Amino acid sequence: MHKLNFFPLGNADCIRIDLANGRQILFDYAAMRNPDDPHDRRIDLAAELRRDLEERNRDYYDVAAYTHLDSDHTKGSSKFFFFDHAKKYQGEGRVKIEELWVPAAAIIEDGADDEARVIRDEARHRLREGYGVRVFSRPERLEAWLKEQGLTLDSRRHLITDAGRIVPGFTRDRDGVEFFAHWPLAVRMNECEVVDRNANGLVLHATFVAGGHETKVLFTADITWKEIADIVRVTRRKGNEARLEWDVIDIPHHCSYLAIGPEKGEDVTEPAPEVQWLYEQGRVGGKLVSASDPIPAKDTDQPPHRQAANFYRRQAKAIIAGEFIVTMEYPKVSAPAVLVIKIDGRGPAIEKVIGGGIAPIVSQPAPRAGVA
Amino acid sequence: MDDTYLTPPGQAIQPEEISVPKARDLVKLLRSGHLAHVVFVEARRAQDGDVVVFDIEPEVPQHLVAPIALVERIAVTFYDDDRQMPETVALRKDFPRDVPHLNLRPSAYPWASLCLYAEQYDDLKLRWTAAGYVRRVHEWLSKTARGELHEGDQPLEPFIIPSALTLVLPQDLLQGASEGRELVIYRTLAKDDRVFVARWRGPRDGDSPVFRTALIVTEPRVHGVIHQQPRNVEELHSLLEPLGVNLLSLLRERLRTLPADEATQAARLAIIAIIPQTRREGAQPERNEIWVFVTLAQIRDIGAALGLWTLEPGGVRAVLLQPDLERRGREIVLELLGPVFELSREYAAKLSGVTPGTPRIVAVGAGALGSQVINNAIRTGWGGWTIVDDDHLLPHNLVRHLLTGTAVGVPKATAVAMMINDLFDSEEVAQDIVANVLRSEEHEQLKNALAEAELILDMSASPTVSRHLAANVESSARRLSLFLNPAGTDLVLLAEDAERRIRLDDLEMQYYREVIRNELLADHLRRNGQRLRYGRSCRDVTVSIPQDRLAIAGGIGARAIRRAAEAQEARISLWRLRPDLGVDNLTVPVYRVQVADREGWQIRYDEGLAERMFSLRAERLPNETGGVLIGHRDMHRRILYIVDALAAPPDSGERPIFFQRGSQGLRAEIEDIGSKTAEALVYVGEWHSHPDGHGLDPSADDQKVLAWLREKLAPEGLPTVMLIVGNGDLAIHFAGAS
Repeated sequence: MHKLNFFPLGNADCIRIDLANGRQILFDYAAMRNPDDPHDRRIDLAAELRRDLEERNRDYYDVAAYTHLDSDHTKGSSKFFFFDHAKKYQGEGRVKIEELWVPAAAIIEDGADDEARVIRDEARHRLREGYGVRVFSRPERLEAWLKEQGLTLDSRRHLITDAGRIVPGFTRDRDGVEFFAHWPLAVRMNECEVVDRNANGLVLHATFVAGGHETKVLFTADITWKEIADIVRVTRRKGNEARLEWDVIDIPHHCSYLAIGPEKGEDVTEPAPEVQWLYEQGRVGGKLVSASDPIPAKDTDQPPHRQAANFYRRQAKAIIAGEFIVTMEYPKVSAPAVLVIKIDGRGPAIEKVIGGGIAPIVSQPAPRAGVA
Repeated sequence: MDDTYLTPPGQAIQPEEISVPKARDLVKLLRSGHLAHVVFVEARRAQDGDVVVFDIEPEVPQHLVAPIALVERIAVTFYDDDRQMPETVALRKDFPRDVPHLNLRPSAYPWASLCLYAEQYDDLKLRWTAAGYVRRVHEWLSKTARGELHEGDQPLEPFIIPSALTLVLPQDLLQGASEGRELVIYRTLAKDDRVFVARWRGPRDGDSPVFRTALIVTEPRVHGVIHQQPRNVEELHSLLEPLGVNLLSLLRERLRTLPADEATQAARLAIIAIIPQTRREGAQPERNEIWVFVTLAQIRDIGAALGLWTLEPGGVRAVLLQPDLERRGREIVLELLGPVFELSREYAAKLSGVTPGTPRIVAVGAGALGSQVINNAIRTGWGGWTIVDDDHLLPHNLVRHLLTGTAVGVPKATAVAMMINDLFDSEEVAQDIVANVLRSEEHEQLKNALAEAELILDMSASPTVSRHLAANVESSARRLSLFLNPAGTDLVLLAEDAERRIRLDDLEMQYYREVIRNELLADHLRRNGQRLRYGRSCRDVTVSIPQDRLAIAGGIGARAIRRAAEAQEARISLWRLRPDLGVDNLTVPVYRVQVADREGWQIRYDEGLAERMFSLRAERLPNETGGVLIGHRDMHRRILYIVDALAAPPDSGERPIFFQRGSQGLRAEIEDIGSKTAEALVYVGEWHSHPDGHGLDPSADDQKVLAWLREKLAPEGLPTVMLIVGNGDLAIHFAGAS
C-alpha cells in the first residue's frame, strides 16, 4: 500500500509520499507553525516528519522536490535538511536528501533570499558536481548557466528532465509508481523580466500501481489557469490525455480563483475551458485536496477563495462521489490532522482513524514519575 | 430527519433523559469529541431501551465492493435489562441488504441490523466500552465497503443464520435423501427440546418419533444471506419456489401417505431442505446448506391447513377427494432449527487442523498409554484400529485410563473400541481382539489382522511383546514401539524404517546403548535411583504416575507415531517431562544393522558399534587395542546382539604386536551398565584390533583368548564372541555354549 500524506500547514504545502517499498518522496517543505502561538493549529512539521523517520529508522528522503521556491513551499528547510554545499547546514539530526528535484527557475534565478537561496545554492552545487539532483526544464534553458560554470550541457543532460517525459529513478515494477513531468515547459519571466516562480513551478503526474490497479495523482503546485491551459493544450495535442486523468488532485495555489479562471465570480469562479476539461478528467470517487486554510464564509483577497472552493465542490459532485477536502478543515476545523490517502488495489481511500484506544499512549514516552 | 434515512426506533428524547448506562456512556463519548469521524445525532426512547443515533464516516475506497456511503447513520438500542446484545441498525434507506454479517430479522423489520460481534453478549460485556463499540461499527462498515469483512478463505455465508435449537443430522444426509430413506427424530436424554438427533429409520424404529420428516433437495443457489426468516409454511414455499421446489405439493404428497394412527397424526413435522451452494452463478456447488424447520402444529392440523382434509369435532379427519389448493399452510408456524452434522473422520481431521489418514493399525496394548494414544489419534481422524489386549479393566486402572467406571470388568480392548466407535456416526474405526499377542499364531483373527496391518504399534510396555512382534509375526507392517520409562518421566518411541531394514529389536539395542553413553539418561531406566531387575515395564500397579503426566505422554505419543509413520526412516526418540513441566526431546541416531549366523545363533550388531571400534583402533595405532563387548542375549530366539565396545581398561597392555586387556575398573563399569539398563546389557565377549596389514584371522594367541572365553562361559550356557577389528573391517569369532 502506498500513502499520500498532506500536512495541515495553512496556506502552504508539504506532501509526503510513502511508497509500499519503503522509499519516500517529499514534495515541498514549509514549517509554518508558530511555536509561540498555542492557538496555532498548523502541524509542527519538523517534529511530525522526524517522528515518522524515527519509526522507519531512516535519516533521509529518497527525493525532496521543491515545486518552486516561494516561502510557503520552503520555510524552515535550512533548519531541517542537511545541505552538502555549506558546513553551516550540516550536522547531527539533519535529514539528508538523496536526490533534490527543482524546476530550472530554481537554478537560474538571481537575487533569491533566505531559504530560496539555500536551496538554490544546494541545487546549483549538486548540478555542478553532477550528482543527486534533477532539474525540470527544457535542457537548452540551462545551457548558458552551465557554460558559465565551465560545463557542457551534454555532461549534465542526464540530470535534466524535460516536460512530457517520464521522470527517471522510479518505475512501476520496482517502486509501484511512475512520474510524468508536465511543467515547466520553459522559464517564464514576468513583466519586470524577473523569474515568475509560480508560473515556473513543477507539475507532476504520478501513476501508482497497487494490487494490479492504477491510481493517478496530479500535483499542481501554485500554477495559474494560464499554465493549466498550456499544459492541457500541449498534453492533448500530443495525445497524452491519460497523463491528465486523476483520482487525486492536489489543487493549485491554496484554492486561489486564479488557478481556475481570470474572474473570481460572484459565488463560483467560472473556469477557463481547459481548466473545466482538466477537472472533468477526474474519475468516480476522485479526491480534490486543497492545501489551505479553512474556506472562509465571506469574500477575501487572499486565498482560499470561497468562489474557487464552490467550483471544486461542483466538480466533485459532477464526477460522482468525488470529495473536496481542505487540509486545515480535516478532520475538523478545530483540530486539523494529517490527511492520509491510502492507495491500494481498491484505489485511493482517505484514512479515517476513529482514534482513542491505547495506541496514543504507547506510541509516546510516558510523563516523568518519581518523588523528585 | 431528511429523506435519506429511515425513522430510527422509538421516540426522540433529550440526551439527558437517557437512563441505560451503556447508552449514556455512548452519548457522553460522542459529544466529547474524543473520537474523530463520528457525530452524535439524537437520543430516542424505545419500548424496551434507549436508542442512540449517530453519524459515522467509514473508510471507503474509491472502488467499492458494497455501496457503503461516506457517512452512514446508525441507531443503536441498549436494552433496559442489558441482557441482550444492543441492536445496531443502519438507517440509510438504500443501505445494502445483501452484504455478509447482517442479522436475520422478521420481514416487517425496516432496518438493516448489523452483526458486529461473533461472541456471546455475556462475554462481550466483560470488555465493552463505548469507544470500542464505535470502533467496531467503523471497522464493520469500512471492511464491508472493501468486501473484506468476509474473507475469501472463510466458509460461505450460511443462507439462514442458525437458531438456538439444534438438530444433529447424519453425515450421509445427501446420499440417504437420494435413496429416499426416511429420517426419524428423537429427543436426547436431556428431554429439554434444545437439541434433537435425527437418524435414518432402522428396523427397530417402530415406536413413534417426535417428528415426522420431509426431506427436500433443491437446485443450487449462489451463497448469500436471506435476511427474512420464513414464518410459516406458505412463506417457506415462496422461498423455495425459485429453487425448483414446490413445497406445498411435496408436503401434501408426504402427509397423504402417512399412516392414520393416532401417534402419527399427533406427531409434529420437520422440514429438512438441502440447498447446494455455489460461490458464483454456474459454479460447482461447494457445500450444502441445510435448513431445518419444525412445526408446532401436529400432522393432523398441518394436513387440514394444506387442504388435504378437514377436521371434524374431536379431531376426526374428513379426507377430501381433491385437495383444497386455496389452503397454503399460512397458519402453520415454523420454528427454525440449526443443523449440525454427526462427527466424521474427515470433519474430525479438519477440526484438528490435520489431514485424515486411514492406515490399518494393529495396536497392541490398551492400557493407560495405549488407550490414550489411540484416543488422541482417532480424534484427529487418523487410523483404522485393531486393538489387541487380553486384560480386563479393573478399578485401579481408572486412575490413568481412557475408560470410565462403566467399563470395569470389560476387556480393555473391547471397551476402548466401543468408545471410539461411538465418536463417529457413519464409520467403524476400531475393532477389538481380546487375546494375548504372544499367542498370535494360535489366534486366526489376530494372525490375519497382523498380516494385513500397515503398522503394528506396540504399547504393551513389554520388551517381550515388542521382540515377538519384531521377530515372530508374519507381516510386512512396520513396527513401532511406544513406552514410558519406569519412573514415568520419559516417553520413548522406537520406529522401524518403512522397509524394515532396521528391526524393532535392533532399535531397542541402539536405544540401550544411548542409555549407557548419555549421562542425561543415567537414571532413565531406574526407579527413584534404584536399579531394577530385568525389564523396563511400568505395568506394575505400584507405579505412581499421575494421569496429568500420562496425558502429556499420550499427547506426544499420538503425534509422534503419526509423524514416524509418515516418514520413511527409522527413528529413536525420547521425550522427557522436566519438573518445571517443560518437555525435552532427544533424538538418537539410528545405524544400519549387520547380521551373521554362527552355530545356530544369530549375531546382530550395527554400524554404530563398528565405527566406535574403528575409531578406538585408529587412536591407538600403531599399537593394538581392545576391550570388552557389551550386548544382549535372547536365549529364546538364539540371538546375540552386540551393542557396545568398551575402551581398553588403563592397566591394559597395548603394543604393535599384542593387546592384553586389563581389568582396572572394568567390573564396576559393567555393573553400572547393568544398573543403567535394568540388566538388559551385559558382558558378551571381547574385542581387539589388528594393525594394518595383518588381516583379521585369529592368531595363535587369539585362539587362546577364544578358548578361554568358551571355557568360562560355556558352563553358564552362554555363547560368546571375540571380534577382531582391522582397517574398516571386522571379523566375528564365535564360541557357542555347547
